[in-house]
Amino acid sequence: MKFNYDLEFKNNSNNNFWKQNTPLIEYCETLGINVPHYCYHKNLSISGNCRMCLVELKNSPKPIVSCAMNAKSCLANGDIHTNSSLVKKARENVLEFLLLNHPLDCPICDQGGECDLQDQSLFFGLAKKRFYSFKRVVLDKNIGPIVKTVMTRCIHCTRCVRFAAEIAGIEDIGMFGRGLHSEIGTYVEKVFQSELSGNVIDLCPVGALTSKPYPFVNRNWELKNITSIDFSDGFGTPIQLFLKNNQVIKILPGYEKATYKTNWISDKTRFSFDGMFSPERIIYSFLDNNQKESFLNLSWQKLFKELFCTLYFQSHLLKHYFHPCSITICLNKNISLEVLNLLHILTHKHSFFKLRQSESSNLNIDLEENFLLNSSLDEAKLAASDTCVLLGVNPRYEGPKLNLKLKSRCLKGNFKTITIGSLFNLTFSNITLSSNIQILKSLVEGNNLFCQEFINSSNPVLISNAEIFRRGDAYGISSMIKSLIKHINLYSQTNGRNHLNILSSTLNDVGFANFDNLRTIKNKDFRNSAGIYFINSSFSTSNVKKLLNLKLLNFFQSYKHKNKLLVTQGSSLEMSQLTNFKKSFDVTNHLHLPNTVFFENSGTYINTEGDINKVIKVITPLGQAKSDWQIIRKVFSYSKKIVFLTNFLKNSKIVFNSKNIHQFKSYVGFQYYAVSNLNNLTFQFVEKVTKFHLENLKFKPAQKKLFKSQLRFWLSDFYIDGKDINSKYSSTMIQCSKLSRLNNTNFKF
Amino acid sequence: MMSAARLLARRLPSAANRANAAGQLRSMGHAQSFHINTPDNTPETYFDFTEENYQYVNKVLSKYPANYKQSAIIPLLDLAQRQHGGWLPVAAMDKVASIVEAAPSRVYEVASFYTMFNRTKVGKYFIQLCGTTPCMICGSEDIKKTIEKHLGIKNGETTKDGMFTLLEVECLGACANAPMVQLNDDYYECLTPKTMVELLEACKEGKPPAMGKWGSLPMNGQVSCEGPLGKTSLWEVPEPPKVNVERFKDGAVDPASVKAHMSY
Ligand code: SF4
Ligand code: FES
Ligand code: FES
Repeated sequence: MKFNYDLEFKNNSNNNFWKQNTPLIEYCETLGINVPHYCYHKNLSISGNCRMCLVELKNSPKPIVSCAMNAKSCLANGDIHTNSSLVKKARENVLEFLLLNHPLDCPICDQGGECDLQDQSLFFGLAKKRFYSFKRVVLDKNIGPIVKTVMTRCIHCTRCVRFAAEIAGIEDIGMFGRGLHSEIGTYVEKVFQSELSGNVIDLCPVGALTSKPYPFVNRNWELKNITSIDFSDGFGTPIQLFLKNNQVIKILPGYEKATYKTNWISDKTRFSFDGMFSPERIIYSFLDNNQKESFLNLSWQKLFKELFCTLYFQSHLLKHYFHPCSITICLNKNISLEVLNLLHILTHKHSFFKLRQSESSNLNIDLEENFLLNSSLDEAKLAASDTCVLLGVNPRYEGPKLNLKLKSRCLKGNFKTITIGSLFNLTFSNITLSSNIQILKSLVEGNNLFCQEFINSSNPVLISNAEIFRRGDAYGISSMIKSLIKHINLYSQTNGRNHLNILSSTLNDVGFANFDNLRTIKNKDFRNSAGIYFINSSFSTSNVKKLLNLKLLNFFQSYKHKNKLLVTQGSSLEMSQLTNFKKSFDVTNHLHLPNTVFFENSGTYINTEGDINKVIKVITPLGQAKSDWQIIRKVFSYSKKIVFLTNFLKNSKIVFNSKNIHQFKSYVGFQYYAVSNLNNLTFQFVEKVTKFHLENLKFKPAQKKLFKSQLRFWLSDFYIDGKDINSKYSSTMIQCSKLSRLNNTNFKF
Repeated sequence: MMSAARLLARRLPSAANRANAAGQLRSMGHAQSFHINTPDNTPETYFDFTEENYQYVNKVLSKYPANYKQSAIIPLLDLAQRQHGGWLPVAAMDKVASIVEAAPSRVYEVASFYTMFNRTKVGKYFIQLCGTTPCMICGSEDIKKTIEKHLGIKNGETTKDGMFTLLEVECLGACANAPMVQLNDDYYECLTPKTMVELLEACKEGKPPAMGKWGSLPMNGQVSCEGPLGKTSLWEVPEPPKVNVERFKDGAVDPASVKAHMSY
């Protein structure tokens, strides 16, 4: 970035008067003038303690700190100079003071090249030294596996302290001691236990806080910068990737589309990418057919030949048994829309393939707003609301971005957060009603004390996640929620908006819901199919695990097929699960197809707010890996060549039901050319059913009772438990998780 | 933290060693800015206010609005320090933090900012010796040497029996009666090496001389800060300041009762 530090202030601001209600420093920025600063940060409170931002105000006896002065009042009071000799002198002197105790270790400092102090010393600093008495010594603190500290470099801007207190909500970092002895630290030995702790690395203007997992690997100018999106939660926050030699070196927050501001990202976003390139990742194919030797590292051509020979053989073998036979494809929700679509085409074309999702979801997907984090969570609308109910959702872990929004709303005051679910420190004040879902009943019936809250509230927001709809009583819950919302709308001063917000747990939950509701894999599928094709190793999910355990109860007495085929397409394999699986299902042929990880893929995802995110492939895949799309397309073209006996053709129509035709268009746009030569397809756009229609319909939900069981957060370990497949292989995340488990136990020995 | 502890072992007793090593660096009465676990001072150590001190706690808290409980941090820390023999273990700070509903680190910040809070163990008599210019000119160096010789400790150290801790500090505002020491809460002024030794001996017997009429004790027989020539000015009694007469009964300030007015 190029800084315009030496521009003189010119007030040409008749039209942007509204901007003047900001700090002077910010106003200067809008005019293209950069004022050097350390402690000031747009998203933090103003502390005004570094004095680097001094500018001259004509009528003021002393230079003023532009970060703590309102632009309007300064403009009214006289001329402003941002490049006068007084200002330069002031900056020079401030820098001299800052450098008194700052070590001159730029060559071995990770911040070198992106250090504000370095840059500004070059601009304004004094080339010689006048103070030789002593250098302060500060011990380095151990604040966890994310942030490396070299505290002698600290210039006490207190950005990290303010971040910890205001944004992360974990007030563990402080400035202790005073004057010469003041130190940034935690006082007692403590880990900065926040899911956002990595952000202090960006915040620190000098090299005091740098990244611990990646020390000494790069210089800023060697890196290539590419934008992408966050893969770890449902938001798909924009991020910037920094690449060097076809490797991701670091991840920084990107610019939000709406505001062009950078945002905070979680540690998982920032550091879990090493899981994608971990040594455990399998980047070569193999075929294991229960003979002595297994075939390693087959070429793709051989692989597909092998696969289809087996399929063909099975199909013809089964002809003699008069068994319809099929291959069940089991998906995880983190594949892109393109792949999903291709799979759909595949299954429509060849009924031999069946598509299943690995986990059940009973979310009502009639209306788009039933499964979106609706726009009632944008800043203005959140500001208008004063109550928020969190139903079984832990936004701090499941969507740190959501938690930040709620926290900042909470800090503005007049905001109540009511949670239903386990007790948890959300970093802002909240009331926990109960951990039992039964409470919904009493809320709906109106005999709970808290109903009063809703009556007095305006625009209450109800946030839940897609996971609680995986419970057995999902229908009961959703009808309860529906009537709860109706009641809330009735009594509180609202304008009839839908106040239900669903936070989805993976990047493409909404895409899946938009597309179609896939059936969940069941015991029956295992029994009836000749082969199972797992994409992205979904057989570690709870549902599949449960099915595996059914085996223990002798559930699978009657197999229809011998010679089962197992295809795993993924970047890693959980070996114990795999052997377990092979044993239970008499797998004779196991074929592994290595696929690419998130950053090696292009794809389209719809995030929990309903925005389409397109990502492009940023690094070339390792080893033999190919992207899901490529693999499925090959499967597609191979399956055209052979005739399956059990193939009943269905019409190849792709239905996409969305309210938003733009989404559909762009969705079809990128799809059509890629698959048009494979098949004659018709893409069909189903307009969303309006709410009005739906409400007039009378239908009886299947099951309306509520279980008495507790609501539990599905994500207990933020660092490794998420739905993204790679973070559990990330060494950084494993360290973080160990530490947080250690610190969160109730028993200390 | 192992290395930190080792480093500190070299650096501590902080004030003295650092001052020597760094030449011009004055300790300014400052301990290290972070906590080091010692057997009697870990975050897990038990600390709680006594029954009657809790009444003071409530009294202090009642002065502030319920949502600004943090205002009570300093008085409560002081109370805890008094209860705990003149120093503040980290557990006490945690206790205060939980009482005022602030994050512990906010309390640590306060406690480490103010030098009147001792975050490491001090002796029963905490001697703060003023070493700033007026006192120095009047012989505070000699006083310091006397104390060091008499007690066998250096600046920043505590005697073996845990009776005395010596710390050189900056001006305590009694320059007119320099040199002076502050012994816990009390000012002993106009010291000479001889009177200093007497004072220390008296303390050893557990009977430090009582404060004089004006709340401090000039050890050379002065009543107040009248100087070696005796009283030369302020002959007539000045108009008393307009104060709440209720509070000071008959208009005369009784130093003994002033302390009672401070809520601890
Ligand atoms: S550690 Fe960095 S961010 Fe924190 S106060 Fe020091 S210089 Fe500022
Ligand atoms: S940026 Fe203004 S004082 Fe630090
Ligand atoms: S100089 Fe010693 S009390 Fe002021």
